[in-house]
Amino acid sequence: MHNSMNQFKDMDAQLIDEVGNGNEAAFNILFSKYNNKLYAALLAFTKSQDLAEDLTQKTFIRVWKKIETFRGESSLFTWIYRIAINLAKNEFSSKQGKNQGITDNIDEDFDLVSSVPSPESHAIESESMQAVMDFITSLPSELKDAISLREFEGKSYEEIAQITGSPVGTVRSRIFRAREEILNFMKEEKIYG
Amino acid sequence: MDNKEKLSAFYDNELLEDAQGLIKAINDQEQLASDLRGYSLISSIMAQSRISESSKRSFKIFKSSFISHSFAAAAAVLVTLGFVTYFNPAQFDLDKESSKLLADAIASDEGQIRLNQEENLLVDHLFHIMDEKNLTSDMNPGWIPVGFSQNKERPAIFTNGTRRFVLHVENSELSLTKPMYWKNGNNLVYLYPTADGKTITVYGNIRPVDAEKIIFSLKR
Repeated sequence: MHNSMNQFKDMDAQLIDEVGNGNEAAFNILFSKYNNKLYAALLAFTKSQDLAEDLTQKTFIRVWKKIETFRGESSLFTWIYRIAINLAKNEFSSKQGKNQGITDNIDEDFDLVSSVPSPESHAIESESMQAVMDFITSLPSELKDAISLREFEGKSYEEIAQITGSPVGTVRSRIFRAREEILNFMKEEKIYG
Repeated sequence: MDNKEKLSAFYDNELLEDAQGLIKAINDQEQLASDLRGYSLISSIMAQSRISESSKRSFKIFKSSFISHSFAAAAAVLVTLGFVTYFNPAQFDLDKESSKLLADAIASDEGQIRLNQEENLLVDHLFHIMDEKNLTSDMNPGWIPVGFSQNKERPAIFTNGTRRFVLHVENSELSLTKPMYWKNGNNLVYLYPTADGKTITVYGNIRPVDAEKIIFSLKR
């Protein structure tokens, strides 16, 4: 567990360094990695697809501009999530006529806004989401358990290995195979790709 | 391990090697970049599915609670905790006054608090307590506010005629590590975790400081 956390920081640290140096490709990777997860969290917070999409874009603009202030005291996603929640709270305050001036002229960044893609999950109908979930349910139990423990419970590979009594390498392979199966299904069903 | 399997481990922050080569490969190979977006999408779908199930569950709890309790009591708990974002008054066929009360609650600051799994358990716990048949606690605190007395039929309930609070203890799924309370208007929800895994709940029209004194008087 401890080793995993160190690796976690190292990997995201490399992305952060690249983004901090103005590497847009690294920013795209960071965005690809976290945008849908953030969108889902914001959707839970706001209950509004439009607002969640808007806040996702604004958050990543803020990440791009403020990445040098990330000090590694929390996970990268936690830091991104805090930015998003602050923006969301500010949005609510603004709507109630109590703008507390937390934002820093994000709306001026029109070019950047247009360059940040929208989360793909917006375009997915609820029926398609249900189809994906049904497919996940139909996966062989070893794949279903591994991906569920990872995605639903946020367990590390080491923790999943302990729970399932399998080597960490097997857990890594099962999660990868589950994702491959799900992605293939989504492509066959024209849900993605 | 090929690049695709590395990508999956990288996505989970579990890649046990230098990610620099993989980052370059993602930049160079559209297929890898597409798969990374796909992994993120799978996470999103699974998360949204869970949120949806969670909301449905709480909605069901709320609805059943509404049937067996007054709207005002249920709304008071929800507003106190801030769980009002996903309720649609129209679904309850409420009268105008009740609908307005809930609409006001939804528009409130408290109404914007995010619902998450822990909060869901909290709602569950409180609705369980709101159902008076579950109030089986018979605790005798060493101190209660002046003017209050214990209900003889329901010893968990204390009242002074105009104000009322509930003192209840039971095993709980809540994983509290420290006392927590929420207050909105006259309503207080105070939760105190005990060393043996139980949760003491004080809920009702009472000040936080009084709730604390009652709980500490139990510990003696």
